[in-house]
This record gives sequence, C-alpha cells and structure tokens, in this order.
Amino acid sequence: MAVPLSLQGHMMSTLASANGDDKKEPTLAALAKEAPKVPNALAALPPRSTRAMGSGAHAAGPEAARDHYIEHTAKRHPFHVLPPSPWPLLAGWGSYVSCLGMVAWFHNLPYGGALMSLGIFNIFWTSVSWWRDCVIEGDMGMHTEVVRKNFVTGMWAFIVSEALLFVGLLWACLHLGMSPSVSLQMQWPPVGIEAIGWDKRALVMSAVLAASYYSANVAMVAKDPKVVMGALATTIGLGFMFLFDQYIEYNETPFTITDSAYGTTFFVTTGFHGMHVLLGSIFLACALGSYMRTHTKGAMLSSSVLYWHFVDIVWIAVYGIIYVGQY
Amino acid sequence: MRWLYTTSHKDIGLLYLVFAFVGGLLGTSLSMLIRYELALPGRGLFDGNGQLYNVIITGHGLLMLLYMVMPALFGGFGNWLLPIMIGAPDMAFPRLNNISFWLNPPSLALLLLSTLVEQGPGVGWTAYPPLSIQHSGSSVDLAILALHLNGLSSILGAVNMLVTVIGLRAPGMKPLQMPLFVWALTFTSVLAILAMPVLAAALVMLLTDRNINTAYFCDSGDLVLYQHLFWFFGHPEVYILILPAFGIVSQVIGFFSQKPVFGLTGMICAMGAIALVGFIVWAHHMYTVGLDLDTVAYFTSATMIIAVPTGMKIFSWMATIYSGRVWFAAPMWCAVGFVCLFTVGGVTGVVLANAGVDMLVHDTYYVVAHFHYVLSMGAVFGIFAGVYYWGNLITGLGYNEGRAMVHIWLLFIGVNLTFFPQHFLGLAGMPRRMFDYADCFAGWNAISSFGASVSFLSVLVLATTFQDAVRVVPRTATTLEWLLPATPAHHVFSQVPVLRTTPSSL
Repeated sequence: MAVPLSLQGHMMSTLASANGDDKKEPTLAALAKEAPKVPNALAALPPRSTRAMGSGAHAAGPEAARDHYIEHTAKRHPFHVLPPSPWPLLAGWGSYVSCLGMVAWFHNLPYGGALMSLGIFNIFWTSVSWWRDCVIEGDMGMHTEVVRKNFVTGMWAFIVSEALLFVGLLWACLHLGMSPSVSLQMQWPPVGIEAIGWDKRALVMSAVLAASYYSANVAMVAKDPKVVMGALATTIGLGFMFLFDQYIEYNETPFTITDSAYGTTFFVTTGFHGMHVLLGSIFLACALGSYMRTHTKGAMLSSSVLYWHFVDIVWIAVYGIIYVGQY
Repeated sequence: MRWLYTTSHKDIGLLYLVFAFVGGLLGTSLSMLIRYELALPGRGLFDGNGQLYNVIITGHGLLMLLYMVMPALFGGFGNWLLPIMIGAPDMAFPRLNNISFWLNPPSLALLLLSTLVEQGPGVGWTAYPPLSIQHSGSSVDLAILALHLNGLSSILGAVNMLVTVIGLRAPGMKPLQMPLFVWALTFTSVLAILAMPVLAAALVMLLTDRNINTAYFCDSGDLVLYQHLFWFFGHPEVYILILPAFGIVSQVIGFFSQKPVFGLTGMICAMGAIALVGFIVWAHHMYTVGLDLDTVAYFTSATMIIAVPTGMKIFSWMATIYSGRVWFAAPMWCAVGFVCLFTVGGVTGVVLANAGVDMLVHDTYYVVAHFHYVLSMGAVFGIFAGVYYWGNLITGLGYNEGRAMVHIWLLFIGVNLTFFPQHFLGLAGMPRRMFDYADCFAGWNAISSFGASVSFLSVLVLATTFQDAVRVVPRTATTLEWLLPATPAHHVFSQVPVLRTTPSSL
C-alpha cells in the first residue's frame, strides 16, 4: 500500500481497512440514489403518521426497543439520535461543586479540599456512566459507519482545541524565555537556577514516548488480535513508565514551581502534558478493555490512538522549547 | 425533567435563548446603573465607591458578551436551526450538546457569586494583571472559573457544530448549497475551537499566579504576556460574536428582498477571510504597552485589511436589497438597521486601527463607542432580527407588528443617543472605566444617559410585543426550516431529505 501524504489520511485508511464494509446500514450515497423523485419539496416529506416520531424507547422491553429504533431511524438515516440522558446535567453540577471547592481550597476556607474532591469524584463518576452508555449504545448497533466517522472527526476537532491550549502555554515559555526579565538579569536559564538537562532523563522520556508512538500505530494497523492487544498494552506500559520518570524528575529538580518564571513555565507546562499523558493512558486502557471484549476495532480505539499521537507530538514541542531551547 | 435531560437540539436551543434572555436582562440592568451614575458629574448612585463601579462594568461586559450574545446567537439560534437547515435529524453529539448548555448556569452562578464575595472583581472583562492579581480574596478566582466553564461550553458546542456540518448534511447538499447562516456558524465554530483554549491557558496562568505563587505575569514574569494571550483570544472572540449575526442578516435580507443574497461565494469567502485575518491582528488592542514600532506598523496594516472583506459583505447586502421586491417587516427593519449601524461601528474601527490615532484615544470613550456600535447595534440587532424572523417557528408565539415597530425604533433611537455622543467624549479625552469625570464632559454624558433610558423603555415595549399563538408559514423561503410546521416535533427528518439540484435552482 502506498503511504498517504497526511497523517489523517493514514489514520482514516487504517480505520476503514481494519473494519471491512458493513453492508447492513444505508450509506448516504445509496440513500441519494434510491430516493423517489417528487414534484416539489413538500411532497417529499414522509406521511404524517411517521413524521413526528421520536426515538425514545417504549415500554415493550429492550429487544422491541432496539427493533423499533432500527425500524424507525437506522433504516431511514444512519445518524445517531439519542434518548434523554441525565449525565450532562450531573456533570454540570459536578463542575460547579469542583469550582467552588477549588476556590475554597485556594483560600483556606473550611473543607475546601474535601468539597473539591467531592466535585471531581462527581465528574469522574458521571463520566464513567456517560461513556458506559456510549459503549452500551455501540453494543446495541447504534454506531453505524457514519457515526463512527463522526466520532473520529469530533476527536480531531477536540485535539485541535487541546493543541491550542498547549500553544498558549508554550507561547508563555517562549515569551518569558526569549526576553528574560531584568529581575533575572536578562539571563535564561536564570542565574541561580540549575537548568534541567535535555540529555539524561529527559532524553529517556522522549525515547519512551517515541516508542509508544510506534506501538500505538502497530495497534491501529495490525490484524491479529494478539498483536493488537500486545501493542496497546505496550503503549499503556510505556505511558506509565513516562509518568514514573516524570515523577522522579519532579522529585529531583533543584527548583520549585515558585522559583521565578523558569520554575513556573517548567512545572505548569510539563505538568499539563503529564496530565494529558495520564488521561491518554487511561483512555487507551479503556480501548484495550473494549477490544478484548469485542475483538473489533471501534471508534474508541481509533480515537484513543489519535489522542495518544497528539500527546506524543506535544511532548516533542515541550521538549524542544523547554529542554532544548532554553540555552 | 424533559428540560433537564433533553438531547433534542430544539429544546437545547430554546434553553439557550431563555438563558440569554436572563443574561441580557442582568447585563442591561447593570448598564442602566452605569449610565445612571454617569448621568451627572460628581458623587452619584455609588457615592464615590469606585470598586463597586468597577465590579459593575466588569459584570456588564462579561454578562453581555458571554451570557447574552453568545448563548443567543451561537447556542440558541445555532443549535435550533443548524441541523434543520442542513437536513439532519439532530446534532452529531446530542448529549454533548446538553452539557454545553448545562455548563452555563453554573458559570453564571459562579460569576454572580464573584460579585457578592469580598470586594467583587473590579478588574474589567479583560482582567489585566497586576490589578487582577492584587485582588486578594476569592472574587477574581470565582470569575476566572466562571470563564473556564463558559469557555469549555463554547468549545464543546463548537466541536459539535463542526462535526454536524461535516458529517450530517443531507445527501445531495454540497457545501456551497448550505445556507449562509450555516456557513457563518461553521466559521464561528472554527474560531471558537482555535481561540477559546488560549483564553483558558491565560486564565490558568492568572489563577496560578494568584494562588500558588507562580511568576507568569508578576515578579520575573511579564504583564504584557497576559495581554498578548488574552487578545489572541479576544480578537477572534469579537468575530465569534458577530459572524452568526452576519449569517442571520444574510438569511433575513435574502428572504425579505425575495431574491438570493448577492454573490453567495463571495459572502462565504468574505466570512472565511474575516475569520482567518482575525487571528493575526490581536495587538491592535495593545498599541500603548510599548511594542516595537515595526510591530505596531504591521498590526495597523493587518487590521485595516479586515475592513475589505467586511465591506464586501455590506455591499453585497445592499446589492441584494437593490432591485428586490422588498417586504419591510420587523426582521427586515432589524437587518437594515444592522447594516447601517454596523457600518458606522466598522468605520470607527478603521480609525482605531491606526496606531497613531489609537495612541490618543486608547482607553477613552471613543473605543467604548466603537464596540458598542458593532455590538449593541450589530450583534443585538442581529439577535432581534432572528427573534422576529424565527420566533414564531421556535415558540409558536406571534408578535404585534406595530408594537414591534415601536420596539425597534425606540431601540434604534435609544442606542444611537447613548453611543454617538461617546465618540465626542472620547475625542475630547474622557477616559473609560472611570466612575466620575471632569465637568467639561457633562453635556454629552447627560445625553448619553438619556439615550440609555430610551433603550430601557424599548425593553419594556419588547416585553409586550409577543402575544398570541399564530401560525405563520411563509411558503416562499428557500431554506429547510420553513418546511416544518411552527413548533416542530422533537425530532424531525427521521427520514433524511435528499437534495437534488435542478437547473432552475442554480
């Protein structure tokens, strides 16, 4: 196979080739071909009895609900229409409590830390419930090819927004590093700070992430389930090894986050990156679990591998700007 | 329960519109307080409490921008109309849509709390350090977190809209066949995805500087860094505010002139150019901080360039109206008002783009007049155009055309009386964000405050304008939302509409 030019092209073709064609659901092109020709647009609307159909499940039980769903929606359009769900509201509530808790914690108000932990736990639990619902919907057959493609597109858009977050953080690193303040004697790394080396541990961490980029890719393209699972497990292991290395690194730095703009930019930027490595590893672990259950590559696998690639690329930027570029 | 757990884009759109109404009422009340204080020189309502005044202007700015204009245009009309206009049954991620809405009430609660604790966040909506760091106490922290939640809501909503437009179009609908409102929302979503995370980064840095002793902006950091990051977000933000209004005005003018909008491809490219160039002009908000001369020269030129695609849109709207069989109803009056008043705001923007002039009028009322013309008269007239045009479809309520005329004309007179004199005040040197002023500025300030009371009257008239339930289904429209009966069902297009391009519809 010729290698496509863009990473996206690479990703999309691996997803398509990994799954094979799903003949059951209508593709948009097929719908366009078989639609009847009508004299005007109003005549094209379906007859009144089905026009106002919602997609909520009825009381007849899960099997009947599934059939009803497929009969009334999946056969007419390949899109994902959802019944009502409490998780967004609860997640909103959890965010509110977390924010109040964070402010209370910052200002040493009583039980601030406890309130924040409660809120974060709320968000965590709601997220688990929400994504569990997504898995259930996938099992029910609601995740058509179009829906899966939309998940991946959504993941791309979300990754772009996260990339811009890191652009903001790295902008600060560049700004403060390239015009060091007078109070730092206009030196960068500042006088008195023992700069973090780009060789030694940081280089090892880069190698770990580079290897995980490769293993994540293997997981995407391999056909043999054992290879896929092994590659995913390797990626997750490498991710945690990176985090462990970062833990040791944080313990050993001679400077803290409060030590001038240098400490600030170092810890906040690498800290945000580390958080994303942690989230990415957990996401990959969930994808591994899902794959172990179904042995089919779904949207979760492609999204998590995509996210992992993003995390790796951000590390390249962080490493280049903070570790290498500081001199 | 239906309103808490909904996954219907129509319900969520309506929730956003109601939320925007609440935000608008709060923001308007604060603006009335501001103008009441500034009506006469000397001690007024606030009895010399400058901190209180600063908290009120901060609240006014944040409420109007983030809790009125964005929920109304992007969340309200955007959510309600986008899927219908492209023939989709709903948004790509209906549950994500709901969390986008439900992050907003907690955000508003945090903002209101911030005004109630300690001294309140008297920092301006821009929250520049060092003042925002020197506010000890939890007000500014609460406000920062409010902005975080609101920003997350916008980012998730933008992701949703983008995926919907890319993946859920009806078969046969080519991108160039999408209505202009959909194109406007697409560009707005792209701007939101690219700009709001940078605000999030800047706010995180402010939060850590305030609470855990980091040195991004204070000590060995740089205060100007905050301004760079903030305005890198801030400038695309104003395009996020106005682009959906552009879309609504295009739809309304096209409909009421009974002909398609002039130069469809040009309109789309103009919006794209505005969105693109909007990312490389941010430092025109920072001309007075001590930037390099060459830097300032660049930003002057780049900012003036944005006037070109914007002017192209204005001329295209004018060309649409010209030689059309124009039906002047309430939405059309709003749209025409938009075109006139946004142009006035736009030209003062070109004036401000010039760093030489801006050195003298930066942080004066000239700037205040400029952005109120493009927002209070641009975005707000766009919102009302949408309300009158689609209000019946969304709620089933009709409006009294005569009462609507009174509302629109009162609003028009009110906002012009309020903000036109502020140009003179700015040129005469009256600084902004000040709770009192020198006696020489008294005259225009009095007129301005009188205008504010006229605007307030118009809000009261608006309350009586919407009345009985009627069904108005114009049959001459060219977009999909008019195929539906008023207050359409929970989910429509359970069978996907297929578009076929015939020779006559090209």
